Amino acid sequence: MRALAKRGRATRQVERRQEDGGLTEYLAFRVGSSTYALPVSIVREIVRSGTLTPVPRAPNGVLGISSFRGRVVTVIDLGGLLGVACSVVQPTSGPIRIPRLRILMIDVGQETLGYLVDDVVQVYRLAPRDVESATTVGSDVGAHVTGIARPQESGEVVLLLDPKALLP
Amino acid sequence: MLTEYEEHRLRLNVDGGFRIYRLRVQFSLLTIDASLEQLKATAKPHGEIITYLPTGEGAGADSIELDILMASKRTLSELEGLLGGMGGVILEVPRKRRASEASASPSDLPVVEGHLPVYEPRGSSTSVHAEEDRKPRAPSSVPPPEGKLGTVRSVTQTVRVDIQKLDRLMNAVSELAIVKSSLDRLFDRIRPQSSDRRSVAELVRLSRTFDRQLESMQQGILEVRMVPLGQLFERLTRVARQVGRNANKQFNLVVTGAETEVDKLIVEELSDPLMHMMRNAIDHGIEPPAVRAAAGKPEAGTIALNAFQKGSHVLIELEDDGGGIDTERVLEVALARNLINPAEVRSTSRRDILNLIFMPGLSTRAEAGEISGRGVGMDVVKTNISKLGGVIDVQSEVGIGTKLAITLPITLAIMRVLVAEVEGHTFAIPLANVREAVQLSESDVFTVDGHEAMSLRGSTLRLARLSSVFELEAARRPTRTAKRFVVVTMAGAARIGLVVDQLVGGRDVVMKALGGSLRAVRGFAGAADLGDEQLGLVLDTPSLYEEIVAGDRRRVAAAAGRSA
Repeated sequence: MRALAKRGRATRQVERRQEDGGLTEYLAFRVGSSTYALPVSIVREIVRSGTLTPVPRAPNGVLGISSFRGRVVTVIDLGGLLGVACSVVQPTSGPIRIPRLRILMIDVGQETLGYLVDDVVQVYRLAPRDVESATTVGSDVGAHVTGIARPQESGEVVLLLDPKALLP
Repeated sequence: MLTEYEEHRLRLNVDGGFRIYRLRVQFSLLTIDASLEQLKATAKPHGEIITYLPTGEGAGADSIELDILMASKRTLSELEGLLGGMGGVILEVPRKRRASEASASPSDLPVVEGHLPVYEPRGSSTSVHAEEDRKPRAPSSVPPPEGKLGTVRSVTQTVRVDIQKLDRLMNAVSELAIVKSSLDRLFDRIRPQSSDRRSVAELVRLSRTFDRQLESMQQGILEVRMVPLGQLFERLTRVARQVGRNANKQFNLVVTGAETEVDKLIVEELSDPLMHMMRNAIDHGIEPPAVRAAAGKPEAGTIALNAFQKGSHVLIELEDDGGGIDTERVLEVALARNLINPAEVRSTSRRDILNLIFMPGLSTRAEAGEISGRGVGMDVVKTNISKLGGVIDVQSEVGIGTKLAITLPITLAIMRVLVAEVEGHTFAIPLANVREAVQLSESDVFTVDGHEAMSLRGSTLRLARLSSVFELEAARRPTRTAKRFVVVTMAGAARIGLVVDQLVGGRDVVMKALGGSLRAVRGFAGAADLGDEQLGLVLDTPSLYEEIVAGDRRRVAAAAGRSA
């Protein structure tokens, strides 16, 4: 059912994109004090509950593993990857139950990885002209940001992430 | 048995009005590749070869008999003329109805009709090929009686299933088990408050039935995955004969326990390691006849391949009465290749030396043999076995022989684990590798060669604290240290005591692989859902043992380096 709904959503999205002439949907989320966004098309699902089990010896940036639809998914600290502190505490021992867990499930290469974020904001539909190139803004945003948008609905600054930056 | 695709081709051909023939041909194992190619090339212009099925009968030691299912527009006599040079028997598989009625709906296909005698030779005299005489080994020239021709018919009784589908099914069942345990917890919470005793009793009864059904479902899926080792052993036997001929070694191969059943996946993965072990036994183990005679042994050696079930394990042993492993030579090579340190030679037991053959880069043969020595060594064998959750052990006496014993879990689908806690982390230790668990009293711990050990029933047990092996930070609220436990874990014949804070209990779990980004992390075989949304890491005990022991070696080497 959910898969069907998802497929429905995907087709709708494609249709909409055609109608609106190049609008892309971005999922905006908060990590630390900044708002970031990724194309909705690469986000498989947003998981809002669950437990993170830390894995000893795991590489830096890996928060642990979580069970997701019968599969074991590696969860990555997106804040760490971006160089900003995620407000979720780094687990020291034992499984952690994060009260308002938000994990973005994203297909990266062959694997589905989970990315821990502080909060999911909303979906923005942006046209290319809404997006400022990161290079014109300045160097302080980091190499993983491809562009910056200020959607009219909210007026907040949204940093568009390069999906390649997600590779752990 | 036909695959889906083959069945599909068969249907298409029948629907297309082709006749179906069965060619029964014997091939010599030595030339089968070439002969089969030749046959294919000859047959191709005249029809489609749908499949090859080994008949499993009538074949001698060095030959194999195949039933080749072929669709063709030609008549039987035409085909016999065309394929005459190949030897063997050609039979036409008749349709259920006469040609006039055969409006050839797929259901007319003999293959799908379970209740009918599917396969009748059409006039035995014409079906015998003239070339038959050239093949004295061929089975009787009269086609076998109907009852024996079960190969095609059996399609109706069996289903080929992708093992992944079974995995999904198993997954669903285990999710169900997890839901059930949540339900039980909920029920336990509500129960004291409930005054409706009849409903409570009813719930208890339903819950028990549910458990029983769940268990039989799990059992059923497990059984479906099981296949006898026989087929693999047959292949091994054939290879062994060929290898023996090429190497001019004489031996008798004694196979027992071919009926032992193992998970299909395990059988697949066992094929390469066993082949390699067999080649090794023939190439390195069994001596040439002259050498054997000089040593007062019978000229023909003996290789025994045994399989048997032992609890929830299957043991496969390959034993030869050959020259045995020269431990001196192994040590020499290991020293020359820096696999061990001169300082530790004296403290290395014979067993440990023998186990060096499983290290990468150790071959006692001066030059790689033509037969073995094809790049995969015993280290690869060991890695493959431990990937299956199994262990391999070696025993050998110079001049008497070598015995390699593989211990494997019967199934990979479901695993019994012991759940233990260390510093707030939950780990699952495969029960297959657990000998026992005892309480640890810190006062009994002593130090040997810089590592902790305790005495367990008169023998020394090496201890390893999981908290330090995994470098776990102490939990914020430290567990009361009074009662730690030692889980005595087996790695082959070796054992080690893993120290944990707490034992939670046994569980049946479905182990799942860790994602690719964690593949480099050593010490874990996977993770398992322990219920309540919580995952537990499943320890890879053989690799942990290896690592701990290797750590000792490094330490000893470093110490030796300092003192030198």
